[in-house]
Amino acid sequence: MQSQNELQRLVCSSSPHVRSGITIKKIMFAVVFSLLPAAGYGVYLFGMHALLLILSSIGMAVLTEFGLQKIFRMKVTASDGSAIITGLLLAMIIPPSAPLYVPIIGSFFAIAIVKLAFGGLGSNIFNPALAARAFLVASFPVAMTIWARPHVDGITGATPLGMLSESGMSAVLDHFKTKIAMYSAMFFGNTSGSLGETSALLLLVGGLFLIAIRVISWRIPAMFIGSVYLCSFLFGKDPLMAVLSGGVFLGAFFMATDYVSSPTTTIGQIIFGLGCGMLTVLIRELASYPEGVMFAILLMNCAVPLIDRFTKPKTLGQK
Amino acid sequence: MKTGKIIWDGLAKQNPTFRMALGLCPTLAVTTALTNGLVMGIAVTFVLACSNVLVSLLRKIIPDKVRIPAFIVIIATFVTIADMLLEGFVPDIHKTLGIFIPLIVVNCIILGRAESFASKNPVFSSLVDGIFMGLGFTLSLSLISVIREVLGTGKLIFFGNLLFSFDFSVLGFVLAPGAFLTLGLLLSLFNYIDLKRGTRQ
Amino acid sequence: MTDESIGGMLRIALILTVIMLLSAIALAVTHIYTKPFIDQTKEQKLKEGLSMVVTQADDFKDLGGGYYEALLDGKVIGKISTVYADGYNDKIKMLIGISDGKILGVHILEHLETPGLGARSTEVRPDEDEPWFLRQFKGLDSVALKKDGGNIDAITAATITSRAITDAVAEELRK
Repeated sequence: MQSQNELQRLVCSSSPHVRSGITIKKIMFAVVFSLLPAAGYGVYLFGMHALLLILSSIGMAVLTEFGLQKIFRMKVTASDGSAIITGLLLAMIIPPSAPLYVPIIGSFFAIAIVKLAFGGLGSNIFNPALAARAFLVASFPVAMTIWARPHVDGITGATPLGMLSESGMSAVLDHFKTKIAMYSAMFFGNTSGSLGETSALLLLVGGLFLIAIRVISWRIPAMFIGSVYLCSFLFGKDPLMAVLSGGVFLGAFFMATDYVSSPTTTIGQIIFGLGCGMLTVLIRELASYPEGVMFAILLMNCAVPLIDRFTKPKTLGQK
Repeated sequence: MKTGKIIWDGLAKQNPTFRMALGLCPTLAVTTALTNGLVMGIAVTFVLACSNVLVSLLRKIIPDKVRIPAFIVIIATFVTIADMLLEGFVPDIHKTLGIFIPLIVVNCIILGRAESFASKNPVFSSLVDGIFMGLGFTLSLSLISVIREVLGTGKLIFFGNLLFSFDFSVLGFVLAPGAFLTLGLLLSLFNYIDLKRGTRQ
Repeated sequence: MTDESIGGMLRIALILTVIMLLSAIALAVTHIYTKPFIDQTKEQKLKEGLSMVVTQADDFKDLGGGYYEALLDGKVIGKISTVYADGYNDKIKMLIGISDGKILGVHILEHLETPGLGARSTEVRPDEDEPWFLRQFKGLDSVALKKDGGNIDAITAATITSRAITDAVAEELRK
């Protein structure tokens, strides 16, 4: 029995056998590197507390992965960088004024429940950082909806999307004075929002870098952002603002493209991106939350096995 | 059957929640506070004990063909009695438990015990089985409730008396996701313990 | 006698009938026994609610249809109506007392709002005897949330619940 089991593990696929120098570690550190500008800008914008949030989030993520894998005598993968990404991403999608226990509990939840309980890297259904944020929103509704104003300590404001859903477009224009000022504030990132989501420009730079070195494909981000633009236009909203505000760029480039929780086929990725964008706009327009990126991606994560199944390429000769 | 074995089966070895995974719907829904879980457990224990005794008494009279309708009528009667008693004497808890009291009728534990135990065993054994299956259920509900109430609200209240409180809470635990999380983690904990004990034997 | 014979079928029917009959009797007895207690608690809840709304009153008259009159020494000092607001999870059932176009008080009878958020609409602060959110309404002749340019502080992170209650009160004032 033993030998047969072992033989079954050694399945040899047909040639050609391609080897590349790409390892999980290299990919993970490329992602961290591409996130650094946006994260660094968040620290510049919101102060030292933001840096503490990032460090505690990353620290707890790595510690949780290492600790639990030691306790349960699993293979320790804490150094492959994926826990660092989860921690960094989580810190970037929480309000910059959140108390430190928020990212610490969130990172623990992301790694222990969303990642390791489902079987570790490669087996998680949901993007760990996003699922942890959903849990944090449910658990700390007040801390997760108080937004610091850029460059001003201790004063809170509303995010552009929050203003839009509370008091309408005229209030947003009042706040930014002119439309051009609004677009540029959102593009460069000088607005209230989650720690690392405000600057569309820096996220775009990081995202394009990842596409250029072929770590992610362009399909999911392009479809995601494109369908947010189109659907917002159909709802009669300012489509450019819809794309630049909230977590669209961060979600489209860095979360919807998560290898594990997104489809593998070309058509699947297009469907996935379109679905994320459409759900984002539907949640923004029709649900009670001002922002929909998080739930849109999580909902599409659930649909990935189905999408993969229906878009599986046919083998030659298969009917 | 030995009484001791029946008691041990009900409390632990065949624990309705953690071993047989029965009656999970009320388990998830009412375990937001210790008092709720406890009252729900006691109501189920009452129904289970009464219906087990009656089913066992009537086991030779009820024709095999109509045993399920007969069991259900007996169970529904006791559930409705429990519902009215709770509404009369603990109206606040009755209100929080809401629809889950009438729904005890369709709780698999009760029909399951009537069908698989009380209809085949004498009255005394059935009474003991009903009481201890019910207590096993009550214990599980209380355990889940305590975890959710303490983590989710930062305090523990026992029938209106504050036992302790602290200034920190993770609200998610009293909401619906917390129910699934707590139940899932406890289930895996008990499976893990079983696995460890199994390998040692 | 087998189950398939006429006699067997009759026997089955008879046994089931007897079980049902006994069950009906048991239920009737419990009902008769518990009804006074159930009615009493319901009445008590309502009375408590009514006196929370109009604290000065010493008696209440039920006008039917969810409307009540608050009386002091036999004179009418306010009208109370039962109102439903569209809460976050379900309807919020409340009592609103009004006199001369001014609010005497607001009390929430039933709600299913989220604990820690909308449910804080019935939260009573230590050393106080009524919910702080509802107390804001007392004595006002027009209400709206501060976010909507009015005079009522919303509950943090529970704008929908706050707005539902405030709008229901405003609607009642316009009547």
